[in-house]
Amino acid sequence: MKTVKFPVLLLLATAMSCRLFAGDGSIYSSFGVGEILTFAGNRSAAMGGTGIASLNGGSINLLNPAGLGQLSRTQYSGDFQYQGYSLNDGSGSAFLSSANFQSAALAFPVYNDYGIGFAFSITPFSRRAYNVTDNDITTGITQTYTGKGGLSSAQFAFSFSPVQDLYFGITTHYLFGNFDDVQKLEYDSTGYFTTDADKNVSTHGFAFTFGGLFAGIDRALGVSDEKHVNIGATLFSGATLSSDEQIFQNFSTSQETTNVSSGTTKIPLGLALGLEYDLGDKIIFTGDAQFQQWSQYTYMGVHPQEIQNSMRVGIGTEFLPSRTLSEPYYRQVIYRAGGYVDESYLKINGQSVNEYFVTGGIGVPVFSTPGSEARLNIGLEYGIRGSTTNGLERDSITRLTISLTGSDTWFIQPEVQ
Amino acid sequence: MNVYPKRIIAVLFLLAAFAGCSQSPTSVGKKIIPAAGKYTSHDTSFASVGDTTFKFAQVNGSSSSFLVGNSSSIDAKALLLFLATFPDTMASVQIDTAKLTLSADYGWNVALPPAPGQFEIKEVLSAWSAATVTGDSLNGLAMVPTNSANFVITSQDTLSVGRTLTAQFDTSLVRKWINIYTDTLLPRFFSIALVTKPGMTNFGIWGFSQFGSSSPPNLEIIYEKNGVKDSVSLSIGQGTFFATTNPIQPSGGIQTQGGISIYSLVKFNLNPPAFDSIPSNKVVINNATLLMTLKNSQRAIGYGMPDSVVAYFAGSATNFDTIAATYYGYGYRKDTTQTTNIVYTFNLTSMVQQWINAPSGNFGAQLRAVGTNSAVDSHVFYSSKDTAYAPRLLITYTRK
Repeated sequence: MKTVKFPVLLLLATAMSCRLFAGDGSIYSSFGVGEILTFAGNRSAAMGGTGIASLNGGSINLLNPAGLGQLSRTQYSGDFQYQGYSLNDGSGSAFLSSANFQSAALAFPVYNDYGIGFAFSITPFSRRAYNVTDNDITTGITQTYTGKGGLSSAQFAFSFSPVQDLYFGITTHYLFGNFDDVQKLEYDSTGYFTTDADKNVSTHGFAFTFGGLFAGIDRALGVSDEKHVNIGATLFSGATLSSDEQIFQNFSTSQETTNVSSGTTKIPLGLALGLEYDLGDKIIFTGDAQFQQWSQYTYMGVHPQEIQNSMRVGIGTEFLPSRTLSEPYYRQVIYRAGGYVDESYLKINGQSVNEYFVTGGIGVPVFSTPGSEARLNIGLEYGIRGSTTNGLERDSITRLTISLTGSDTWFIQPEVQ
Repeated sequence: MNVYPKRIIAVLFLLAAFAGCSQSPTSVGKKIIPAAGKYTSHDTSFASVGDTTFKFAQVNGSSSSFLVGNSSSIDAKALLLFLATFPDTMASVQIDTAKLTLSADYGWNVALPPAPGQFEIKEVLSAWSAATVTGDSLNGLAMVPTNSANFVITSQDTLSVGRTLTAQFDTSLVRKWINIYTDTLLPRFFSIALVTKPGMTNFGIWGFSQFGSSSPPNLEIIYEKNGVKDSVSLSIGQGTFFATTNPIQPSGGIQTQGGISIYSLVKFNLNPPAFDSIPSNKVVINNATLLMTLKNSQRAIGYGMPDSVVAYFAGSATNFDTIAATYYGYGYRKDTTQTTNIVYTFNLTSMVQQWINAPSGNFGAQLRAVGTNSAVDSHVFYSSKDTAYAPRLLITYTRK
């Protein structure tokens, strides 16, 4: 029990201490709904963000609800992430960082014969965090742009298996969050008062992810005698989020609410396809492709010209030397690696803002008993987004994700002899 | 190999915590901000589209000065009310003398007429209150002459700060007040009025320090009882004044005058379809300066008052005297060496910001004299019809 409490307390304290700060990210997060975060757990992150076709009873598949169909025990996870941004726009550079609680999930099997399982989770959907100042000596105005907030997804997932090896699932997402963009104006001229405009957007709504997964497609096609290959697909329904916008302006003598409007934020449809190849129960290879039709994104009925369709391709691998408790400790450690290429939903100055990431991680056992086990997962991602050409910015991003995952027999009725 | 997961967790989390705090803003990434998202600076100017000069009945209340005198068709009468308390022992005393002392703090168009200027002291029999009395209620007040001596002004030097005027006060009136005070059945109302002596015109409007100031009106009563002289001073009370003129003297311009409540409204149209309009509400007004040009020599500033006019945010299209007192700006001479077409500048930055934020609330700027209820200073500016010298509003603003 102490083993669990200790990191959880640390995680909460650290997360709270650093959420007080804003502007610890890239100016790219000022567009659209911010920086899209496809975080689906530490395992997925360390494997290039893949997992659409993953049917692993030892982890919670947050990418594809159909992947919950083989849960054997109650699973839980909590993730904490540190992000470091090294920013370079060709004329200057800066380093910013943040550390936040990332996600939490709980999943449990209900009826294994039909692959019925449930999962509750809360994960980030997007993040806005920037803090940029522009001192224009020709106009004598220093403008500081600050943004914070983002969308979170509280989700409930359900899986079932109507026939052997075929799994379906549905996830209901409740997307919610706030965006707070402040533009502060300071003037060189004496007698001019500092002013600022604060745009606050509150938004919420529902979306759905429909998933399907077929385990052992190789055997079904007669390619193999055993089941090694899974294929999975998801369809994200998109969402029409209710959005309320208010603009507060601080003038020399008063604060005024200069604009109040209500409308919608339209999050578009997304499709994903994944493959998983299981080699001898020790090594897993995964590959995913994800597409989202961001060209249909609108905010208050307007499509920003900087938003385009996104396409992401990732690969990953996982290696577990041994599942035997008597083996040396290092042989019980899970090793993961991967990478992905993402043509993001941003197209600025006519140029796509692409991301190239390599990922890796380990999962070390914390404790293991016949009825429960826990692992500390450490994932590391490093990548580059954008470039310094064409007036853009190149972000070198490092993400360190620390998670505690485990399983237990909670909520599971013991079998009667 | 010994592995301590708890220690690993602690170290990793603490490292992340120390590293996870953001830095100050930097300029990196500023080139990505769309031009449409940046504020730019602009200058523009507007000529006024109309003006109105008006008068209304004003309650002067317990103003900082009470006025009395006559000049330029304005006649001012002062009312004083003593909140007197007489010792019981005064019921049977012999009143030797009484004198009323006033401290001058303002003078307007003061000039000695052929004979010294004089104010009479009258007894006011009707009840009044500074909080409610107006010029219209003046005719309803009953006043009777007293045996007091007149205040006599023999020298303009009287206006030096702190100089006082003293007049012998009617001792029979003092006796009457003492008798009223001792009779608990009678209302204790001890009031006098100061009025211009009939036939004396155009010797100026004089202002005197109010009750509650450092130099209040003082009625000193010297009496004798059992061969011993003693005195009592009455210097607590309330005072107000009426300044009347009828009709408004035509000026042909934008006029303000204190005391008789002559105000003006100056209107600007800042929104489309006005030329040089400011179309968006996402505008920050950095500076808004109203320029008003004085019609040559048409001003009269009294001693002790600044050469200034104040502009308030007009609060109604129909009730001209309504203002939002939060937003105002004083107008001063831009160049004190000017002798003709003197320009007054008003800083109306916050007012114009409100007009931009809520265009439907733009009813113009209401101009008033400074000390509108304690002075009769007047200014006349060129009107909106005077093309060359019409009021102008110079605005520097930033907008997206």
